[in-house]
Amino acid sequence: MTMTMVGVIALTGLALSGSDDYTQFGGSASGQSVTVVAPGSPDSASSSSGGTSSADVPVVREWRATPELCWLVDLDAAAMQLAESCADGYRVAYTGVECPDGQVAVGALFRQTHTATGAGDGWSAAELVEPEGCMTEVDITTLAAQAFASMAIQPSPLVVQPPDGWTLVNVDTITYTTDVAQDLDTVLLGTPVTIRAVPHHFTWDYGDGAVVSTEDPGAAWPDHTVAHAYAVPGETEISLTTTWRGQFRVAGEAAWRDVPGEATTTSSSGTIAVHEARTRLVEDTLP
Amino acid sequence: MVRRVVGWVVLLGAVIGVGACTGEPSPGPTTVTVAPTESTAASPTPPAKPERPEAMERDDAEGAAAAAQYFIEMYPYVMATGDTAEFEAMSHDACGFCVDTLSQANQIKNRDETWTGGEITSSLVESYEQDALTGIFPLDVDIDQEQAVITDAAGSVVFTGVPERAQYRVEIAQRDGEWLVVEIAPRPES
Repeated sequence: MTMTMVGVIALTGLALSGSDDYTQFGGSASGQSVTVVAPGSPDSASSSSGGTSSADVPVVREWRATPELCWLVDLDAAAMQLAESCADGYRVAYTGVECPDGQVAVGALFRQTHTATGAGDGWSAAELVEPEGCMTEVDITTLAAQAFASMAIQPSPLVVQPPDGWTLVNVDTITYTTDVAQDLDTVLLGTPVTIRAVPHHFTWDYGDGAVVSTEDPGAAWPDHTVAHAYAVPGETEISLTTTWRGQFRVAGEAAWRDVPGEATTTSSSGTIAVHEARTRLVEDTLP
Repeated sequence: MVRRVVGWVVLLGAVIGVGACTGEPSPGPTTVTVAPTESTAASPTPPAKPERPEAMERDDAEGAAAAAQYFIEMYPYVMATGDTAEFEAMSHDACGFCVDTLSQANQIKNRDETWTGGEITSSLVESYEQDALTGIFPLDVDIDQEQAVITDAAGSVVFTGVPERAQYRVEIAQRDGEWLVVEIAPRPES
């Protein structure tokens, strides 16, 4: 039996060793996948927003131990909890499962909780939440899409400059919002999943017929990129329609996966008075 | 993940291949004497080994970036010379990119083929905080590679590449105080 397997593997090796398989740098780097989510990147969980004050320390941290991740315990700065979850006692939880077609393997989920009074760095011992298993990708994507569709999304903040409910004709009235994603933690098929709404597109209606449609959230003066100059005085109202796209991530996994569908939210500025200002020469020194 | 499995299979195949070859009388020396006379006329001097940056002595993000760029820029040297020792020493077992690269460099050498061109320049785009769980420093690096050509011992072209420019995520960490590349992959989409 073993001999047959070796034969097959050797053949595979030969088949892959033809000159056609030569690549440049990008060829060797094209099929790999990264292990960790870069902190501070748009991909990273909201809990890793950084900061040094104790209030910013996440209360719970989760990761999935896989045979691949356990290869990294030999690194100098690998955390104790990784070594803990990769120790012999837990190995049985993630020896590497083989899943039937249409299902994907997920590693064993570990969790630690943080308490300010905890021993050492404040993190509890690693606890096995869920052993590795198979997940039907299609099912979980469908469920994630449903969860996204019913997710309550806070409308984007709408900021107008000048800020006090009035503006002037013929000068830029600046508008901006943020492109901050919103997360919802939920459980799908017994697995903790984070659903994320990511603002994708912004449509500004300035109330006088002018509409600006952009993927740029804009910025405050003097770095503003989204603005409108009113031509006539009067009263107006600015509204912002945000189009959101959905993503989801299984707890402890690095990658976000897309959810089909879009959601929209609308924000409004309230009434804004548009004034006309006339220049006037004055004799006295201005205060 | 799947790619890594393929990487291991290839490696295993290569190991078995080497094992099989040791049994036969080696034709190696004969070929080696012939190859240079044929290829010296056509091939320019192989790319020089990049200089090991001093910043690699640091154990912080700056050291990580210096080590990552050194490793990446060693790529054409490794392909052209088959001198894989330092590249291999800087490759973590988990690095599928490293396995594939080493396997190709060894294959070029074993078949007495010649790699020319493919010079790489890299620039650091972003360096992220160290991962708390693994100690990995994730980095984004832009890589420009010129066209590479591989010719066989008779001078026939067996592979022609294209100039490439792409952005990669590099994962690098220290083991026993030395920098090791854990993976190089396309930059994940945000």
